[in-house]
Amino acid sequence: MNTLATAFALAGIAVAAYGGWLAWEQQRLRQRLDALEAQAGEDESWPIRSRAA
Amino acid sequence: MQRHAVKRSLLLAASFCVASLLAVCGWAIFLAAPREITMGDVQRIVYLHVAVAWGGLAGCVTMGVAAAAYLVRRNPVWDRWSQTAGELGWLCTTLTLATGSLWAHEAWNTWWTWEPRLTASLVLWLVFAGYFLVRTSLDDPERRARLSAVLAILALADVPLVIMATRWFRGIHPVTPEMDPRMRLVLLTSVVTFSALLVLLAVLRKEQLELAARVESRERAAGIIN
Repeated sequence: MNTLATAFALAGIAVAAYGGWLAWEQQRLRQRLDALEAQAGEDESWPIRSRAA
Repeated sequence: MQRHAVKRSLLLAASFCVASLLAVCGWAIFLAAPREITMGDVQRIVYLHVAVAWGGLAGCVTMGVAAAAYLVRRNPVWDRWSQTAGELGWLCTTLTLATGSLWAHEAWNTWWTWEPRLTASLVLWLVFAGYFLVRTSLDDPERRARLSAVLAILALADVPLVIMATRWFRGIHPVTPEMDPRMRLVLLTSVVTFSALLVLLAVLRKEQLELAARVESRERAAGIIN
């Protein structure tokens, strides 16, 4: 019974760890992309703001 | 924006379906499948072992086919599919070796033996490891994709070896053991469920690789990386 539990626990932990890492990495990449897009937006609007001033 | 919302809803629905399938599969393995007379409850490892072994082989084949498509079309999307399939194939092969070893300890009284199918499976695991070693050691995306695609196609040669090893080299690994029809049905349920889980994980991972490529291209444009 212990062997059976170990086998299923191993599989469960491996798949959950991969799924958890996927979710965490997805979140990190999305935040990074948002930050880069916001930065790019600021850079593009800077000359306009400068001219207006 | 609407397309993104539709995709998100589809992924949520697919996740719900896979979670339901997993619950049914758990019930089938632990409650519906009859207890095997010789090995007892430990025999239930087979339902997991066969499913992950199938996942490992399917991962290797998908990795090779996607790699060939990349070499023909030179579209990075195929490289991402190849990487995704390789990752999941490696995960499944690791689990195949681990669950097989646990089963072997109960059935053969040893954790490992250099049996032909076990050896071919270990070779498959090493080939996956080599594939990712190549991927992580090259910075140029185009060169990385090309070289790893060649390796992924070469890896296909091990698939028939894993499947036929026991027949060709007269190993002791069970080939197609006699099974109660209920056991066979549970085994099929397990393989279908695990395949659905792998497809879902593959779609999520491939989406993530697309996002990572977008981040990389933005960083390059901003001059953060070369």
